[in-house]
Amino acid sequence: MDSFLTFIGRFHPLMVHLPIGFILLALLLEFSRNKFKEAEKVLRFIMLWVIISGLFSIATGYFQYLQEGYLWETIQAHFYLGLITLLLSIGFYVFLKGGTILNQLPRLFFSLGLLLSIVITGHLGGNITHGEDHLTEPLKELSSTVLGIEKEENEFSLNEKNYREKPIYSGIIAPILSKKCVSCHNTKRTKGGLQMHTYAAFQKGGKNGPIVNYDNPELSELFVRIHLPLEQKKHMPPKSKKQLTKAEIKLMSYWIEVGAPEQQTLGQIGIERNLIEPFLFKEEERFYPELELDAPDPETIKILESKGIIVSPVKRESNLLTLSTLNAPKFSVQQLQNLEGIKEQLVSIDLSYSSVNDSVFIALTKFPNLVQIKLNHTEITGYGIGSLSKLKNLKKLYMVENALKGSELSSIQKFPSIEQVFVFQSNRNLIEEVELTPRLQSIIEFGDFILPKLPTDDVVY
Amino acid sequence: MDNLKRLLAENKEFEARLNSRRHFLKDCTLGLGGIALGSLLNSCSFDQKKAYDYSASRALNPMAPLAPPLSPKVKSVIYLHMVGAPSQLELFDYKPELAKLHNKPCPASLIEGKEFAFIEGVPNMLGPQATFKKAGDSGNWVSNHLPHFKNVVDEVSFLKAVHTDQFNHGPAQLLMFTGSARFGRPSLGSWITYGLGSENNNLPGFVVLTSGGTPDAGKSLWGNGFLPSIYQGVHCRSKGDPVLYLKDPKGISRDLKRKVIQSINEINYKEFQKFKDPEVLTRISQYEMAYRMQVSVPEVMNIDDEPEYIKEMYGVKPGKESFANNCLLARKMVEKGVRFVQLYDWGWDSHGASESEALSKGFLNKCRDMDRPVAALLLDLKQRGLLEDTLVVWGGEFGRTPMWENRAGIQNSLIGRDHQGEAFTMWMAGGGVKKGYVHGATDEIGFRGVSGRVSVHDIQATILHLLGFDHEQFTFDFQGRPFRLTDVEGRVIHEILS
Repeated sequence: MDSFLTFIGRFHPLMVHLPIGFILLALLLEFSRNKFKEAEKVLRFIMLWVIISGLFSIATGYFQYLQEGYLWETIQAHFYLGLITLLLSIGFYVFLKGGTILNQLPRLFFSLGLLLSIVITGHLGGNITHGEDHLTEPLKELSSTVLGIEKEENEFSLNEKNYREKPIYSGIIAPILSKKCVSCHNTKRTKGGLQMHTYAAFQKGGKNGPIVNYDNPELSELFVRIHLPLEQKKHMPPKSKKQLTKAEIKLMSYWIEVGAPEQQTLGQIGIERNLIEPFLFKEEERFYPELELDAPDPETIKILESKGIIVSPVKRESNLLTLSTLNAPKFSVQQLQNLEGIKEQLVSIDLSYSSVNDSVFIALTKFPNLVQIKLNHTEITGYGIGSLSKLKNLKKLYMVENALKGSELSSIQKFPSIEQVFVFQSNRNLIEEVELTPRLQSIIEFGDFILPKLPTDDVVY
Repeated sequence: MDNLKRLLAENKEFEARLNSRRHFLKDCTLGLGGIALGSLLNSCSFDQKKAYDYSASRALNPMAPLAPPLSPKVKSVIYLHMVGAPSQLELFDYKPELAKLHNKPCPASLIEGKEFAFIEGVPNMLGPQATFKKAGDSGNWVSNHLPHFKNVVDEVSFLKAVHTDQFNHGPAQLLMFTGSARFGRPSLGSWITYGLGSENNNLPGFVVLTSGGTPDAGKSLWGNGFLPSIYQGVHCRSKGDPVLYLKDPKGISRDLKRKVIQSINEINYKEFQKFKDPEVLTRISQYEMAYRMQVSVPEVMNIDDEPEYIKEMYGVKPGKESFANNCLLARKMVEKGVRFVQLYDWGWDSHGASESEALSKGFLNKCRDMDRPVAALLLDLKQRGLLEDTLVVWGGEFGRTPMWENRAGIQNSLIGRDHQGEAFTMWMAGGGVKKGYVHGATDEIGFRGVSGRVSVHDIQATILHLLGFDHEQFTFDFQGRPFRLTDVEGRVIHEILS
């Protein structure tokens, strides 16, 4: 019987749309009834069906409330408003038939009343199924992009340094629970009688008692359910919901095994590093800037590829591009003009082994987002390299094995973002030609490494 | 004749009758509906700008470069494999406690229920056959057998507690390079070239260089398994012709060869259009690659043009097959955009059963021949900026026991150790890897890993991670299920990532 009622109850979200549609239709007709001869009769007919479908909606809704673990507080407003809508509909139907006391009320009382009550009831219903911020969520996102408010990126505030001091529950378990469990187990929606939004509520357990078994942790309801295969009915979170990741399952299991403590810190428990690793926030320095760019011009790429030039995004689905002329040794500076269509997107360019000369430096300033430039094995001498200081994002510059003159290198220290420059030349010691400043010394890698000969090198054992 | 004409006319009429109005209504409505639906569906996305399909070029060239799904840290890999399993206890894993136990019988608790390749009964313990010193700014231990390596110790991340479940060379090598101890899986380099392609049109994307001999598991170590065969490794010889059968035969000019290959490829392409078998494409691109390689491979394989001091740094032996030559070649290839360079150096199986296998003799010669080239390779990559986007991996297929091997129950006459899968040392260096770092530790005698244990699959997962792959998502469908390099295991070793 229970499952039958559940089944009936689940028709509620479908059923409610009938009276909503009927009422709106009736109101449309009501407000332009002068245009139609038989409007009154049709209106009566529609209102009769509003009442019938309304009764079904309320019944299914009530079953759903009984079966699916909603709290009375959550649904009460929706429920009462639904009833009011039904009563108003009945009232309007009787009014239309005429000859009762109701006819002393103004006609607008019913039509406007119905409009108001159906909108509010519907909205409240939507909030219950989709969550209270369902409607406003996209607005928030909109406002945050417009106003430039950054979204919080990391819900776990754990990092390399602080994780040992964080309590295990609030530091890491609670964020997992609230992400993956609390949406069905809270004060508003309490599936299986279980609430997980606070530690106290969690300890209480559900309708079948506590979900953590302190004597036999591996038999804990929570432990068992997150480990059941996805297909199993009792698997949690339910198949249709967002699943726990492997790392989350491992960590939750560990937490249950050590007795599901609240206050103890991760350090006190002596948690293994690899359990916590996936949750640590790493301040990853991004090599390439995060740019919101349009997709590059496909025609440009097609033409470049037909000439043997490799154009490839930095990773799949990215609009930031890398370009290499490895297979096009005749590539010259003039051909850089063909790159107009990917001017913004180009973040890394490798012109090694190509036929470019010193005019390449000025030509490269046309690509404002370049982070990395490789000019190895070319004819450049470095004349005009100073113009690269216009590239605000340039971090790495490779100029190995070419005709580079050490005297040209001093302007490198003015490059705004430069991190490393490779200038190794196997046929000469470039370092002797450069007036080194501490800044230059920290940026430029001259190489010229040697491995001194050792007496053991020739010993035959 | 009249009869024939009549028959033909009748046949025509019969066919015409079939193409009636009824036929149109009955049979074509589905097709019309389909056309209508097609244009309808298309119109749903009319304002979307068509993004460029980078993978389109793969249809004609299976080696066309592809971007990885995640941000990569490196573009190329040089994998230095010491075939036979070098002794971690004489190179990196310093165990002073073991010295105190030298030549004393091994406690029964250590060998109870254990299986060894050769050890039988109760062997004696064998103290470290090397002296150790802390090296570099990182102060990590390096033995006296690797004097040159001390110069680059600050570049590498050690993994001191790698473990494998195989204790014989062949299966352990297969596990290391294909993710399975049995034949049939694609090798690491094949997976990588399948996923990323290769940048240089004129060179193979996956090159294998061997010195000392062929590894025990044979060419399966660079086989393509169930991936299209274009992705198998190309074994280049460092002596004589780099790739066999690449030279033009006598009396055949290069032009004529070009024409022959063109004609063959045209026929093959028709075959491909008919049957869509990717192996035909493989064959086409291999013919073309071979033609281009005739010029480019001898060029890249020629180390004579390198400056004398670079050759000295590596300790190359011109005209001979040597690990040093291969290290220099590896750098040259990575510089030219080769994706995966695999080096196998044979002869590290130091059992103590013969002079070449003795820790006191053959092993020392191997160390001498490996030490300088490896240090030179790291320094050379570093000075050219290549270490920024290359990953260098060093290791063997397993490690060696802290016990003196006693083959058939009798202690070997020369000093040597048996195979050990429980704990051994590997290291990685290059882009995205911490510098001068140690992860993992073994017990007092180097018999088992006690912390930071990592498996062979963990190493593979980490290599794929650095190249921009999630090893759990990177699959190939074969025999009805998706396959992974790391099978159902593997964890990225985040501890050594910078």
